[in-house]
Amino acid sequence: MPAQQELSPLPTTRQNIAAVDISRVGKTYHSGSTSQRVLDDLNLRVERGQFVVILGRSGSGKSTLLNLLGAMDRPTTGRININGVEIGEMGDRERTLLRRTSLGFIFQAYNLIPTLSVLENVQLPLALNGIDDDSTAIRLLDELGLANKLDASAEDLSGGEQQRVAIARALIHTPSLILADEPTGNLDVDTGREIIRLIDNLVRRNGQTLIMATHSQEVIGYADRVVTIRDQHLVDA
Amino acid sequence: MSKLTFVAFSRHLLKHPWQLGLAVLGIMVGVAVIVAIRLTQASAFDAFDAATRTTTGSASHRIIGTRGWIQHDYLQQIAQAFPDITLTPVITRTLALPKHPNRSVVMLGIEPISRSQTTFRRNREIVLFDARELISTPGAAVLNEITANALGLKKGSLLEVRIGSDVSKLTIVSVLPGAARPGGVINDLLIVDIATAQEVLKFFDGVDHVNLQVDEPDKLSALNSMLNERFAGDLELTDLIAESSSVKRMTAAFYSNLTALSLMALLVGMFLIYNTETFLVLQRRQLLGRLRALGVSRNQILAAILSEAALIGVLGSVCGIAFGVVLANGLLGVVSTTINDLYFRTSIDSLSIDVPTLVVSLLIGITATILAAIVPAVDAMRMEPNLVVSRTTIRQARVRQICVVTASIFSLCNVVAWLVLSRSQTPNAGFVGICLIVIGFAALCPITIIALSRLASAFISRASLLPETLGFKTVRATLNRTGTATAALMIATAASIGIGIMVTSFRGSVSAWLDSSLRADIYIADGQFDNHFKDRKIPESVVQTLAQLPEVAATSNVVRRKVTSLDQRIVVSGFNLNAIAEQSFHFNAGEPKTIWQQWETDDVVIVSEPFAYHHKISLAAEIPLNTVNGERLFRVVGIYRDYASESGTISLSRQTYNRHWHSSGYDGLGIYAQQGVSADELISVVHKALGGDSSLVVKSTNELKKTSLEIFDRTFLITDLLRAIAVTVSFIGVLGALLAQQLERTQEYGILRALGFSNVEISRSVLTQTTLLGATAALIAIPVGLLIGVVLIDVVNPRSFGWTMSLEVPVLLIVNSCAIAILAAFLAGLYPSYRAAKIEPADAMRYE
Repeated sequence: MPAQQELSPLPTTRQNIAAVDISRVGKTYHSGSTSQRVLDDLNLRVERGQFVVILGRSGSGKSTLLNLLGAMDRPTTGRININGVEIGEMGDRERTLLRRTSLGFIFQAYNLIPTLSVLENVQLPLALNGIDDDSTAIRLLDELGLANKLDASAEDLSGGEQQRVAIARALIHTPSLILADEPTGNLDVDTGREIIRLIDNLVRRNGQTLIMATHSQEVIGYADRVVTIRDQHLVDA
Repeated sequence: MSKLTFVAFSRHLLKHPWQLGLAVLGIMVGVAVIVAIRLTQASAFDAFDAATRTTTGSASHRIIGTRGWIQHDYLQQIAQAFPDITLTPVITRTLALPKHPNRSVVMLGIEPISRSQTTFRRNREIVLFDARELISTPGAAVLNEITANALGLKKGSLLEVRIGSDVSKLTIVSVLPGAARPGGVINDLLIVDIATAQEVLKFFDGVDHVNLQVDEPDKLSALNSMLNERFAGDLELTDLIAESSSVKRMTAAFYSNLTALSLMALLVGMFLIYNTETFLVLQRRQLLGRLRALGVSRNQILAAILSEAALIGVLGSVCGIAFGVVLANGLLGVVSTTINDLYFRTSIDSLSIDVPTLVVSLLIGITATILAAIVPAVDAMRMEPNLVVSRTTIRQARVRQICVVTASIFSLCNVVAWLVLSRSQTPNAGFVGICLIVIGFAALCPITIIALSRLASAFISRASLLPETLGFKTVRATLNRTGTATAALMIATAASIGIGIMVTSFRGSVSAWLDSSLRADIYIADGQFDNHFKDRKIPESVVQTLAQLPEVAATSNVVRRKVTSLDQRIVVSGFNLNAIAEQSFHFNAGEPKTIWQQWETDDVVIVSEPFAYHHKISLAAEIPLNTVNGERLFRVVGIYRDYASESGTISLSRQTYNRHWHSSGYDGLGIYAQQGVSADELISVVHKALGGDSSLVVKSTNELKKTSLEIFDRTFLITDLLRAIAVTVSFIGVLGALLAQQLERTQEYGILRALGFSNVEISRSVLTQTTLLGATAALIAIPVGLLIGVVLIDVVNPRSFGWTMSLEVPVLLIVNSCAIAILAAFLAGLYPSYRAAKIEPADAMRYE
């Protein structure tokens, strides 16, 4: 994929570099004269190919941490390295390129593009990287059991199907880091279990790093490592 | 830009056809008005060209007799002196049709052979009738199929025509196509051989004028010298091409006013586009957030929104062009009447589709749409990647920030407007000034909404009027939506008030001028009552007969002729005035007593205000006029108010006129009744005295005034239409803004419903907001409208037409315009209030 290599701002081949390395990260939100500290002095190193689960109560800052790792927000303090590159100081353009090339997102509310079909939703990351390729998307969707839904509107799918499309979209461009925020939160137990199994299989097969925020105890069984956010701090479970 | 990014955007729009419709409508209306105005202008010019082509062929010059005709021996002398110039003698006259009392035709008597020599040689005109048949058949005539159908004629039919009391019968030997087709002629034109024309008129001494084609400057100069030396004062050479350009130039000011109005409609349309685009961005915040999270760059977002705007622009402009063509067809009649009333006689029977106009309108539409979309696009571009966007995230502007921005825009625009208006002398500067004033005051809308809502909140009881209190708060919180819609409504209302003030002032001035100028009890003219030079004069015998009637106390009269001066053909009027008639002139410059003292004895003239303006003439200036004695200088002793002619006239006493030109007959008469004789009685007596000469039209002063004001009202009919369009567009703008705001506050309405607000209370809250927006628009529109009115009266009109007028403030019109603004805003709130009231709390909460 020459276009992707050209766009990628990250050195993806150096094996000794951690997939994620955050140091003394803090995040405070300001609203008028009041401020709220959500995360404080977080440290975390995630090796390549690891599956890390982040646990924590609602409002503990799990989504905030994923937003910081996903280059969608900036930390108030500390440093965040993704694949050995500090992203805190990156400009908007570099952050956009990072998300486009090296990161994949799976979220509780699926966040599919409602105006695009299933196939188009999955093709979107490739298209953003300048790759015009139907076959990869079709193959992946086939693997996820959605071969007969290629032209369906994302809005017409069940929750489980939408989440499978979201998984395909997150993985299609083979990003090195996958961020999943409560991917089973809106699904029933059986569908949730199936989704976790799918994510785990696909990510491990490609040697990708996965960081998943969840409430589900069942997911813990799949993880290489489990950490918890408690009182704005990160602790190993 | 990724194709999929654009697809993601555009499909959203296709799934929301109402929003797409609103956006398209905004630009469509603006473009339609521009297209309609430009096409009607092009059609009027084409009709004028067709009329000129039919009546003059490819002639470049015309020799005219200053008495109204040219005798045959003069013609022979010219032909002998210049044998290589093809002379085309012409007789033209308006004829009545006894079997069709409300219609008339213009008879054009030509020499078919010499005319066809001129036209074929130049290869510019196709002649579809047999010239020999026109000559050989007695009483032969040709006309076009439109006129033939209207009169129930076909080839071989007989047509009765009347001049005075003489009736003749003509045979239609050929029916030609309409003017729009090759070889066609204009409506109501009857082409005959010149000998037939002389038969019909019972006039065998000469012709009206001679058309000729001369390209070589030396030959032209020689011809001119010969005419001056041998026929001094009797014949004049005129440049037809220059005259035609001059007529077209005169209408330019009329159209520039209409174009300015159409641009105002486009400005309102741009506000609507801005509003809709803002709405669309707002609606797609989640989509934008997701795309940004997936790696879509800011520039890609900007490109997608601007591409979408360009597409809307193309769609809106194409629809606008189609609607504009339909509108132009509808306006053709109105504009045709105005052109006939004010400028030149023509029959615009088909719309000319001018392709460059359509292309320019398309580009204007697309550019306006993209410009209007830039701010919302930049807003969207700035959006951070976010996957949990809430619909209730509203950026509340800070009052201090708004005050600074408002003060800056208001001051800057008004200072620049003042500079433009005071420094530049062109009419366009007036329009630029108006635009700047409007934009400056539009910036006041948000701060005024805040002030009014706070003021209203302070006066109402919160306990009993909780929905209203909430409405006032909401309107303050959603200024980003409601501010622009209010500005659009304000602009439309202000334009309405401003144009209303101008029209009322203009009408008042014209009415006062008619009251003071029409001093006689009845007026007589041969044909129309206007300031145009007429070929056919009222004979002196008629005046003598009427003056001797016992019911007649006094008479006044005028004779007109076209004289070459300042490189143009100018209408000179020779007045025979009595003491009462002298009072009909209202002088803007010059002392009446001094003027009347030298009026008959000296070579002095008074000029109308438009004439003085167009030729930059001031008091004591000397105007050169071609007389029978060669060029003479006439001193200007007065400049008088006159709304009869946009090009203006030069007036002098009949005595002065007689000293410099051969005179016979009159163009108009004023008859003053003896005490106790009513106008109706006088008309009856005059009719009886005139006997069979029914070509003379007799009208009472009241009737003449009524007709003049009807012409005035017809002229401004088109402005009323444009005003209505602007108000409609802004109404749609307010509706769109409220729908956007309702979408934005869906969850809030849901919470209110969950807390126990009734449907009616929700509706009351929404309608409170819309009424406040209407009131804000109306409040700001009053000063803006007054300023627009003042600029139109003091800057645009004097610089376009040379007319000054007294300012009149029509209080009722202002109250009406404000009431319409408030009502429009209230009505625009009905549907959003209905939708807001229908929101189910559970559904609304799901948006989060």
